[in-house]
Amino acid sequence: MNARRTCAIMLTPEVLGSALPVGRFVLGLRRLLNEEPTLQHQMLRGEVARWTRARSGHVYLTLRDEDASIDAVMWSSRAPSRDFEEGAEVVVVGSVDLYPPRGQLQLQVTSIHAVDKIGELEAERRQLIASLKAEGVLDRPRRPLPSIPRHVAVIIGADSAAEADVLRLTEDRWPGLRRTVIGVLVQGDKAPEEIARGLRVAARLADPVRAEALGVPPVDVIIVGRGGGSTEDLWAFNLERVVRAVVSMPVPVVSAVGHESDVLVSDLVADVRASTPSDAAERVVPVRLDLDRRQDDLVMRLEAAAARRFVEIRQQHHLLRHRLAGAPVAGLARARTELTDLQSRLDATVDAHLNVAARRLAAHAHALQRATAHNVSSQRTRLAGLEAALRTTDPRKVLERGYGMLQQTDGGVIGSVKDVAVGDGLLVHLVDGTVEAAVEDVHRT
Amino acid sequence: MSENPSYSESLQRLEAIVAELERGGTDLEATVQMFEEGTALLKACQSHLDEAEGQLKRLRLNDAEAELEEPEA
Repeated sequence: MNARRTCAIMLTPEVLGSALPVGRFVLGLRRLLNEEPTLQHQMLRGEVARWTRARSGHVYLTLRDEDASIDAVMWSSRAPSRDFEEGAEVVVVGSVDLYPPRGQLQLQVTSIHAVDKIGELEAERRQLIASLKAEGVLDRPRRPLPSIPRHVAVIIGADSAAEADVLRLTEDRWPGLRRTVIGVLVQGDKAPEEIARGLRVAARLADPVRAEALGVPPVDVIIVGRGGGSTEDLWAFNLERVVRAVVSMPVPVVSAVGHESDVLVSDLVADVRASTPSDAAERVVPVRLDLDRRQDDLVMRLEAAAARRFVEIRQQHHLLRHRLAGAPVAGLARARTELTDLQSRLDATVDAHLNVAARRLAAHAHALQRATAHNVSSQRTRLAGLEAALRTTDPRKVLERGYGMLQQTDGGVIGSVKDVAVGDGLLVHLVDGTVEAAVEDVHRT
Repeated sequence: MSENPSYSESLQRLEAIVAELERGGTDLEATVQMFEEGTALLKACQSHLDEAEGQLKRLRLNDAEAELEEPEA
């Protein structure tokens, strides 16, 4: 009887031939669902009715509201790091799919957001920005970063990738730079408190008295931040507690949160906004090698220029001695004696300075040998150039710059203010003649 | 320049001195004076750099707070 009722149709070969295999039917259904645009990448709102994270990392969940429910899956690559509790109000983005082996309809979710929390938090964030603006905090002048940081404080996620990046980058740029890195929680309920406390530690280290008690120079710049994450992960940096702590810091603060595109309230109030923690490290810490090279260059130029001047001055005196030797001056013998005396004194002075310069040049060259080979060779080239310049210096050119020699009217050479008195007559020998002058006043240096 | 010139102030002054000496024409006294000032400025720059070097301290928040309280105890 039963068999006859269920088999109301006579299963003739024609009828049997027109029956669809289940597989074709289900796959056809699946294709229809996949091709229907309103079922793909749809934003849905509801609450989490079930949340199971499998060992594979995939999350199986059920979404529901008062009228219906649907099973959903988030593949491990899309699953959030945090778990959602049952009853949590969420917005998901997902596409409808059919799982053929079981003919089961499911929603493949690509992102999930806790709506109520974000809505509330966003309202708080806007209110915070509005009050900061009203208080003038957003417009306060920003402090420049120190050109050479003596003590950098870093408040960052404890043992995070961002911390490792900052440590590595700062060490690469300036090996042995003084840093105090304070590891804090940067996400979760305790994050705001920990970040604010970390900042307070940095502020105390910036106090000269306290720093001296600890035997370190005071902190003169602070980096606060964390690596990238979801909007919720970064949220601590939008909270008043953290933002107020940043504002209260006695030294410049660099806010370095998340990625390039993330802008947090802490970024708006900090002295400098860095796009990432690595960017902060680069802004705060100069490259030590560059500074050394710049200084090396200045040492070389200073010593070379001074040495060249000393040699020029000595040559100028030699020239004057020759000019005087040929000059028709009374008391020539005495003048010559005094001139020789003057000459040797001047030569001694010039030589002493030249020797100091030479010693410094030598010491510097020695220091350079310990630096890079490239640097040494470029400085040696400079030294060779200097030597050539010294050899070709023409004493006449020096005199042409306006140097002169002073002589008393009786022929004595003037080498000191002690050699003249107010009212004495003077002869000033220049490159192209002699000027007669009188002493109006005498100042000793 | 303030009493304790910053690194960049010192470096700026040093560059001015070097440029002046390189132009030539300074007398012996001025040359000596500039050379000595330049040398002193270099020393100051170097000590700025030296002062930046020191310990790397890597602490958890609680340890950092504890360490900071110690000198007062």
